[in-house]
Amino acid sequence: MRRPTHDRSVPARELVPADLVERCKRGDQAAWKELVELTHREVYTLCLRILNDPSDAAEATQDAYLKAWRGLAGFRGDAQFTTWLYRVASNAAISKHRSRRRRRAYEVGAEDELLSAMPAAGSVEGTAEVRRDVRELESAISALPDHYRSAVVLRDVYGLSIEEIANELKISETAAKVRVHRARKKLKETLYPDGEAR
Amino acid sequence: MSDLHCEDVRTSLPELVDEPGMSLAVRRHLSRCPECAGELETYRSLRAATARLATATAAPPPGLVDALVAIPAEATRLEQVRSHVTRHRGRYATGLAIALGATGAALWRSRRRGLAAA
Repeated sequence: MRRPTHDRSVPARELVPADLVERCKRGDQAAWKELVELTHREVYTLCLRILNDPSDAAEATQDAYLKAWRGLAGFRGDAQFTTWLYRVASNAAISKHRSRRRRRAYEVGAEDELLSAMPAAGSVEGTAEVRRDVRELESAISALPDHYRSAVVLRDVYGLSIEEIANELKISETAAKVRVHRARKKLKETLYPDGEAR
Repeated sequence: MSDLHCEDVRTSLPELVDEPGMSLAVRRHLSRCPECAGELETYRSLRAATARLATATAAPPPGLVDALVAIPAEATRLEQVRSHVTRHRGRYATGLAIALGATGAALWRSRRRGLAAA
């Protein structure tokens, strides 16, 4: 994998304006439609990354939005709405994961679905290179064992704290830390098998 | 203070990505060991690339958006049904008791008829 050119983490983007959330809280179904259209791709992708299965991810997404609709009144605006929604979604995905004993193999088509919408300024070649990197990284993440994948996706992609991950996964903070640690190590070994990337 | 060995430092590198401050011993080792420093840099780059995945999305299956948009209407309908059942719990309980009684009586009669025929 090509070495990324800068190390700055991308902060969570706020996709939903505060007034839209307020309208949804008042039961405005047109506002809800707008909110779904703004956020569903991110929520579905989060569930897909945790569950590694498009059909399970779609079910978890529906569970997440149902919980979000019912829990909207409790959203006080202390955190970004998107962050709150990600937490609801990760909770729904993890519940779904727990409830399914027999896991289906990850279909190759699902991996192809993960398209690179990453901001990639510059040439067509640059964009293609970034897309290839995204694909390699997504592929390496999807190949991680389930318990490592959930932890590292929540920590490094969606920015949850170790404490939040421990709560979501119902494990100790030490266990959450260890899972993130091992997942990062495995990712590095997969993507940079010869050691440091230059 | 004795210097740390590469093995000691490398085992903790995946965690050091998250930690704003690191011990003086680790910092000293990293300043003297380009290999460990390079590996830490690789972890940091990987962490940054992973964070940027938050903006890469997958196309959801057809019909999912419609199902999500319909959630408030569905939830309202379910609430109405639940509230109706709660309000008329007595009537539903009486109706259920009558239905069970009728079924039991029919079964009893049919069994008696069968015994009489035998």
